[in-house]
Amino acid sequence: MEQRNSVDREGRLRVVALQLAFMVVLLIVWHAIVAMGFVTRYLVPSPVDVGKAAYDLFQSGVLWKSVGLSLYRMICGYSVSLVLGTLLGILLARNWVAKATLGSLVLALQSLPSICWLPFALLWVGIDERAILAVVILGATFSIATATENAVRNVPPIYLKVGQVLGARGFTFARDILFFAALPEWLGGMKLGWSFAWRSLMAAELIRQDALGIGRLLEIGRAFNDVPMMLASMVLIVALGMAVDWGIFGVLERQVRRVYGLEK
Amino acid sequence: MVQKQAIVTFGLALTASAFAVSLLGVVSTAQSQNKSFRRVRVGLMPTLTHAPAIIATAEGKFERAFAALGYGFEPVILSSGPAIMEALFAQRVDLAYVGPGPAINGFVRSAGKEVAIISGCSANGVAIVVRQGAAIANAHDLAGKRVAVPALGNTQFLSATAWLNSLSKVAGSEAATRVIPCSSSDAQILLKKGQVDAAWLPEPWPSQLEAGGEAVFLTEEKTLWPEGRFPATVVVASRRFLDENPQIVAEFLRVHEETVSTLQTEKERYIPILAGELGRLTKKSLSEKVLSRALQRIDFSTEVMRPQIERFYQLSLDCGFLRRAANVQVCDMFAEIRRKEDHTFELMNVGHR
Repeated sequence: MEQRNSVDREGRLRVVALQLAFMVVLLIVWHAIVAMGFVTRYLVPSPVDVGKAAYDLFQSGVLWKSVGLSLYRMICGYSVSLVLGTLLGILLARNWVAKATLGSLVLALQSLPSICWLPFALLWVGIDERAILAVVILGATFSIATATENAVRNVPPIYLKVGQVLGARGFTFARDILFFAALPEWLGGMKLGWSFAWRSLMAAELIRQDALGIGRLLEIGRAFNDVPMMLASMVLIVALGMAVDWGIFGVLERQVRRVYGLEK
Repeated sequence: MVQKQAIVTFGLALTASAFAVSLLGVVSTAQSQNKSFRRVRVGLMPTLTHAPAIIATAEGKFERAFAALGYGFEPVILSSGPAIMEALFAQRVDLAYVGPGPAINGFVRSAGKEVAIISGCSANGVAIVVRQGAAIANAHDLAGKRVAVPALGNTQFLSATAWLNSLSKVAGSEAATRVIPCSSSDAQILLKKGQVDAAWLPEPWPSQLEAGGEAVFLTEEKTLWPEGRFPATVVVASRRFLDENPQIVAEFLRVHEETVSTLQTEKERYIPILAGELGRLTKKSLSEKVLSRALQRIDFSTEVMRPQIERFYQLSLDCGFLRRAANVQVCDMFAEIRRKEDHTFELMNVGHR
């Protein structure tokens, strides 16, 4: 058993090393292509130019302000969607009247990209934080609801029966049986919701123009013909997205798989 | 064996990625090399400070002038200065009417390789209007207020940001002022809802807002300039196009200068055609009364106003929108075309004189 683990670790290390090497060589090739003058420098800047732009953003304090604001919006909007989406999902899974009525509505709204709400949000709540939050919440809620509904529906009936036979009722039933049975799939829904919220936020920040944010950095770069800054903000968007995907959801998923005996 | 295979795969993956990067570069540099029938593409915006371009286009003057040289003409209508510079970078326009702010930006960002200012088009014609009941009596009261401008990074964005920054420095307070880019119809809604207190716009939009009762006239931007006069729109050329086609540019400038001078002397005569064209391009109906009032605030002139343009450059630096680059001198931005005695054309950089 111990040996398997160390072999696994070695394998994982090798994958990480390969990924790193690939990135480094890719950067070198990119730099070489630009340095050799195959492309117009101010349209396709070198990685060094992008690094400089990122450093400038960092030094002027704009970087942290933007990252902070974007993450703050994500945390606020996503928490609301998580609660709303989960409650809505459970309702849809457990109540056929809700499913028949609200269900179709949720399905319809889910197929509407949330950024389509922005013009309305601007008209209704005006150009302030609420418009962006509304778009983030609308972006994540319905996908979380759908995933939660499926998670609850896909719980094997045997678990529910056993739970009932053993006397679990009401809240105890929900907490001890339903929650644990639905957790892995629900977690997948949470992750999906986060990525929907992230996309919605970036789109909203690109369009809305009166507050900082990472999406806005991209648009500022564009308005001032500053391609290095545009690329720097894109790298930042990717880095943050991946950090959350790996650092939070990846760890959570692995933990759950381990607890459920799906991974050692 | 396995390792060898892995190395080959790694190499393949790398080649594919390198190919993608170079493809990106090729796409961005080698477009529009269509050698067959060439059209001269002129970028412009549907606002009144671009009136000479709108009139010369509507009356077919550009078309006829270029046809005489064996070229076609294509007007490229865009909604903001930054969008026009983007089109110039992407080689989608050859010549363009644009505000000095984006022109300077494009010049500096491309290290002087893309953009040259070849003429003036209009001076002034930018007004600040305020929401009713906003308690703004003069331009100094704008400190701490929210001001709508037409687009992120355009000339009014620069002017408004620079002005508000200068005010908050005086007041010593953190700049709670905000400059909000939005379309003119959004500005109308935001003024009505009290979400912006003022709008800093080129004509005819301030006059339109005044006429609709949404806003009250505060002042003209020219009153904030020491000279009492500043460029609202200039004419720029793609550097490459200028180097390769001085004759076309000379012909374009002849039409441009002619249109500017007749427009300046007979503004009223052009009101119907401007109302029709602006209405068609912006899908907004503009009354002739509004246009007449708006035109009074604009001074159409081909004067380039170099000191003011250099001041705009300074403002861009002060606001942090541009960084001073060692290899870029703003005086290199101005170019002029001279007809020589043997009827050929000579391109001159006039900035150093």
